[in-house]
Amino acid sequence: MDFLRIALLVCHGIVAVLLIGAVTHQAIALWLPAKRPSHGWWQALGAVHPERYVRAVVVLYVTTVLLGMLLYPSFSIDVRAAFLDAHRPWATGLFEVKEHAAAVGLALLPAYAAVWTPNASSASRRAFTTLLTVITWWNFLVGHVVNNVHGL
Amino acid sequence: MKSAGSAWGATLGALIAYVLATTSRVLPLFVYLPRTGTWHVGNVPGEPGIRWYAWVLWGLLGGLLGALAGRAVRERAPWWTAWGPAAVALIGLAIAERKWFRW
Repeated sequence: MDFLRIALLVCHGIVAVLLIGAVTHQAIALWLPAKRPSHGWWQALGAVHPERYVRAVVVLYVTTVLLGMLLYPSFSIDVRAAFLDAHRPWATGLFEVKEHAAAVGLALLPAYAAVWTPNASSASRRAFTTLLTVITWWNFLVGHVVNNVHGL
Repeated sequence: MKSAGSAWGATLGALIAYVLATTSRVLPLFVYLPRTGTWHVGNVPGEPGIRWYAWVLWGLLGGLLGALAGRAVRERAPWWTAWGPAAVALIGLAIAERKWFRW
């Protein structure tokens, strides 16, 4: 059981890293697109095709949330109830905001995917992608902080 | 999601249902008790429970209804009417958790 829990936690982390990479690349390409072909590292980041990341972002986001859901019962009993609520309530608070952010991100996915069709404006693409990027980074960082306070 | 109206409706419907589920008593509160592996209506004192599963399910239901309603809307509203409420909901839900940050 412990092995399964650790394996799930590691998978949750790995998928989250892939999601961070995908959505951050997309956001950079939207906000700071490369003006002309170049060999520089930063220019290469801005030169990616952001529309190619949409499906990956949706699949990785949903997968990350599903893996988090599977881990939640262990977290609830062994971490939150056993330690955080009484000794580190601020960590519980951060986690509560993380779960709300994850749900809001899930809600955003249909519109996020739709604005990457040819008719939508780049402003709406930026808005949805930026929101998803902020949510993803927040959840990633809070997940690490809470796990460092008291791991599974 | 083929139709932009459905996508817009799904996002807005999911947001509305999730916020209603978390902040009001309009929708019933279902709680999963991980120790016993059972579901309860309402919190069980002294027993750790997970409310988030039900909140997400309410959000999914709201998203489905919103997608159906959005399909019927011919002229979809501007996209900011979906990402704007999402940003506001995010800030509002974070503020609603301020009780955890009192030292």
